[in-house]
Amino acid sequence: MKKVLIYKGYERFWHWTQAMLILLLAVTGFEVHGTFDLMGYEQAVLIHRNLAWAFIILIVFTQFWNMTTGEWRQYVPSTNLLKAQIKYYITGIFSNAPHPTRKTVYNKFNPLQRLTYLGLRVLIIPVVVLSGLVYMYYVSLVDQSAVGSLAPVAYFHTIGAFLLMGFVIGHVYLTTTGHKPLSAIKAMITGWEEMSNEDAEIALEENLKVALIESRKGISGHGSIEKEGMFETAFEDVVEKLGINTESTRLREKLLTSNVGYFRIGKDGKYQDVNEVWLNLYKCTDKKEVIGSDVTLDRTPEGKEQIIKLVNKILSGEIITGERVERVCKDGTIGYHTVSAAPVKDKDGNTTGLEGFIIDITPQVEAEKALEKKINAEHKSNVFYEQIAKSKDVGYFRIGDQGFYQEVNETWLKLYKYDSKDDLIGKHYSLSRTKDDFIKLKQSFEKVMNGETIPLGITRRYCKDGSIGYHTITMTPVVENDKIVGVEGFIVDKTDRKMAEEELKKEQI
Amino acid sequence: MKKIFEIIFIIIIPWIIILWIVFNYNGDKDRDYYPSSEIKIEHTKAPVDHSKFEVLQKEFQTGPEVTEACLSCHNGRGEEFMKTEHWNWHKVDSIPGRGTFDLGKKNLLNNFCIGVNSNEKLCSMCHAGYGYGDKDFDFKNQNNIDCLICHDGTKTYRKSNPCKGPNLPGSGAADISVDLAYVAQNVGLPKRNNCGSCHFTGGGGNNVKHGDLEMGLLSAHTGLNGEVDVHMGVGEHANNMECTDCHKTHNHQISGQLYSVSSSNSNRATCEECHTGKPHQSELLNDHFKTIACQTCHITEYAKLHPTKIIWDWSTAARYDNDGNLIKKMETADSTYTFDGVVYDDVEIHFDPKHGTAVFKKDVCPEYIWFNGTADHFLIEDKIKDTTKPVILNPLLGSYEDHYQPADPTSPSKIWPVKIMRGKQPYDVKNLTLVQPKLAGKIKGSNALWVDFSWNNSIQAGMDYLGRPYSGDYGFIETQTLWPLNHEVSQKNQALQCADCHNADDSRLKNLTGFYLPGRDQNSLLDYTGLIFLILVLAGVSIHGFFRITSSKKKH
Repeated sequence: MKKVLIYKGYERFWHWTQAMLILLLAVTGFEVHGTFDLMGYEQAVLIHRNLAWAFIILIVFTQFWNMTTGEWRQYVPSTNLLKAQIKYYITGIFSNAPHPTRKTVYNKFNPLQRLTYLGLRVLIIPVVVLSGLVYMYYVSLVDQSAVGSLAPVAYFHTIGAFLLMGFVIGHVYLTTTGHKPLSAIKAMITGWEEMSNEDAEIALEENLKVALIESRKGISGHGSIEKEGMFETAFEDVVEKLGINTESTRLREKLLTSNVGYFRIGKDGKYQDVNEVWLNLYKCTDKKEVIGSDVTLDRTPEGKEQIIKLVNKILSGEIITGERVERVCKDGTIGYHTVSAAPVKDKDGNTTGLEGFIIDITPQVEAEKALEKKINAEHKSNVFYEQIAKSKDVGYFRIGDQGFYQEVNETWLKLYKYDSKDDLIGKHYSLSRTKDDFIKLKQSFEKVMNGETIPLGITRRYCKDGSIGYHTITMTPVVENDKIVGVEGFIVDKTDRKMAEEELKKEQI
Repeated sequence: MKKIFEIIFIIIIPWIIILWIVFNYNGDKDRDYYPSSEIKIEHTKAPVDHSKFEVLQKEFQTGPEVTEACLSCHNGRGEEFMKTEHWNWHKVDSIPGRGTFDLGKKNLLNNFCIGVNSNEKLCSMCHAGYGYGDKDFDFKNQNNIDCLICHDGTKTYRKSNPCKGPNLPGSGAADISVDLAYVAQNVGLPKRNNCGSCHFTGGGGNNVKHGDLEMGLLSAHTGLNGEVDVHMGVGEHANNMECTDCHKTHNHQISGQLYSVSSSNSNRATCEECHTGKPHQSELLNDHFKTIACQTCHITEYAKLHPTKIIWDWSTAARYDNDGNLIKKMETADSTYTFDGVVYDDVEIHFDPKHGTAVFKKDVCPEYIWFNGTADHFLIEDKIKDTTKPVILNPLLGSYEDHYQPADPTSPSKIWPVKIMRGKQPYDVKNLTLVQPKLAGKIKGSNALWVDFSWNNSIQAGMDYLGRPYSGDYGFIETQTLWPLNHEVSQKNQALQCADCHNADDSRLKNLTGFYLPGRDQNSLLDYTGLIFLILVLAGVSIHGFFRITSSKKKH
């Protein structure tokens, strides 16, 4: 639930003053009508007249305000979504259906309201006010033979009064149909209206849109291209001045909703915020347990040391990327993740803490360990290979001595965004590389063909659809009959991590 | 914290400021009478001493002798006076839609003593002349003018009442106790007692007729400081005005129109002449000028001192019981009287065989009508159209439509307070006309009702005197006369308040329907429809809300 500023100061003053005037006009008016006796006929007439003048002054000035501020647009009736709005009030509201329309500061009224206020402004108020004026000046109008019997004037005035009272009852009730029953009334008092997050977001978007359109309109010039150039520059300047990093915000959002764990730690070394993924990785169920606890809590003794070192490094201003860290989950199991982090600075540039991302590499690490074991054992095991080959996290490949692909597994295909093996088998491994990358890889390839193993490294791939990905790669020689006939290895996707690194780098700029 | 401050500044403080202004600002100003300009009333006393004139030194035996003496100096005044209604008892006047008539006390009927003809010997007690005993009176002889009744300054002059004694002179003669020379030497401009000697006792007694003109207006005690009438109040801090201050007179032409004997909107004595059409500081009140006569709000009650006659039922006069005896007494209820389906509370009921049943009431609430200053009259030759409804002898014309779309823009209709005199008087059943009986007389066999007690004979005598047909078949029919109220103006703080008329339950204008009065009237169809509409809206939102609550509970 968010609060959005909908009503300006003058509007609130006008609304409540008008409400008070109308109610008192009704009370004194019905006493003049003879319905009851509160303050005496004479007093009722005098006060009714004073109230009438106050009311006329108020509404005349308010029309002036409406005109000059552009608020008059709010009252232009529209049939768009009218049926939907009526349907909502008749049936939808009972089944908790969402509102078909939303309130923003530039569009306060739904179509049904617009229609009602049109009726009020064109029919009811003029009838009551004009007949009231004729009533007040009846004697001099009769002198000029402008009006005859008083009866029709009085009847019109009374009819208008009843209609206005009916409106008041309906209006007061309908204000309870907001986000919560008192939302609309509170809004008219304070100016801020409670609404759901989605509604608030849309309201914000609308406001930005209209504000931008209006400021663009506020610059003279022929043709939109001229304005656009100015406009884009101005927009970027403002965004920068306000310190809004629009791209990184989107990136961050994407990261936060992906499988990346996010954390923020204060200068005191205590957790300030974590996201769902982080909790899952640490196998915690309750955010509240984590927030405020020390960062060294869930580590092995070596891990503790490492963490403290890392934290201090970052607080002193460095960015870390891809540090491999061990964690102890709540249930005691051990996990592995890479962490990238950067210091968090406030407006004035003082470090208030650090934040970063963790990407789980437990399966990859386990795969690596297995692979190492195998490398050390120099022992091929079909079962082992089969297992790895089926693994979802690890991509397997085998390339022949000439450099043509002989085998890849499903995961590999997925990572390279190929549809089937047939697209790939028989093709050269240079297919998915830039020239630079190919040279680098060729060096590694030749090394392995000579019997070397090369350590884990990150390399870039070009997927079938042209997007770029990152992965770590292992390469071992395939030995058959004591001769090296090819290279096989595993790739583990590191795209997210790479993206996180880039993001943190950018923040520091 | 900032939010609360903001709410206070934007919402609460404006409320407080606006409400403070709304409830305290009176754009309508105070309701005081305009205090700045005082109306000056000047009573000049002529520097002449009539007691020094030789021509007035002799022993006058009769009234006409005095008049002759007056006219020896004030020549021309006689001719002048003989053009006026006080002398002629009729004038030429127009009735809207009917034409021009010669109308007046001489030939119009009312529901008090009904008519002057054949009763002149008594009626001329209030004629400004000597000897008007029958229709042969010489209206051209200026010595017949009674100057003293209006111009007496001694308060000792009175005319003779022939009913008070067997041999007293009638026909407007001066009373035998009056020292005519003394009176003649002390003449002056007319004061309240001069006018009041006739106009306070119309109908045969104090305050019988008008209701707002009574002897108490003379008395320093009862009229003190203007509690009864703010203009005529006597005493140090009161206005002590004379009749002529409002009823301005020029060459014996007196302003003021009495609608029992007049019909056109002319020669009016109005409040605006002194008070203007905008006498209040409140604009709202001044706005009422177009709709309401000043008298409506400022004459809140009439007959404040002495009860006035409100009902005169002639049908119980001259009645005989089964043995043929004249009914001399009648059982009367305590203090309520029902007439034409309406119950009158707090009344005094008198009965005697001469006059029938008379109902008197004090502190009477006026009735209200639309009136534009013109009236119709039911003439003796007019036919009664519907004998089941009361005949209105002097319908005062006007309506709501005539208020906002007046036929004559110089005299639109306004709401006026009136005394409605009700009664039963004789009519010709066959000819369907009203009849005029001979009432006054002292000689038996003259067919005067008050000596012979025979309706048929009296009616016959009266109609013969007029030369009008009478079928011999009489009955009694309900009649009304309307008397606009102008006197016994209350003090300003006693005037009617807004809620006296703008009141849904008990408005003073309850019976004056046919127009929309805010606060009193509602269109019940409109109100019920509006209420049902509001109830439907309320029900609708309640049901909607109920289902929302239950459906959201289901989710949980």
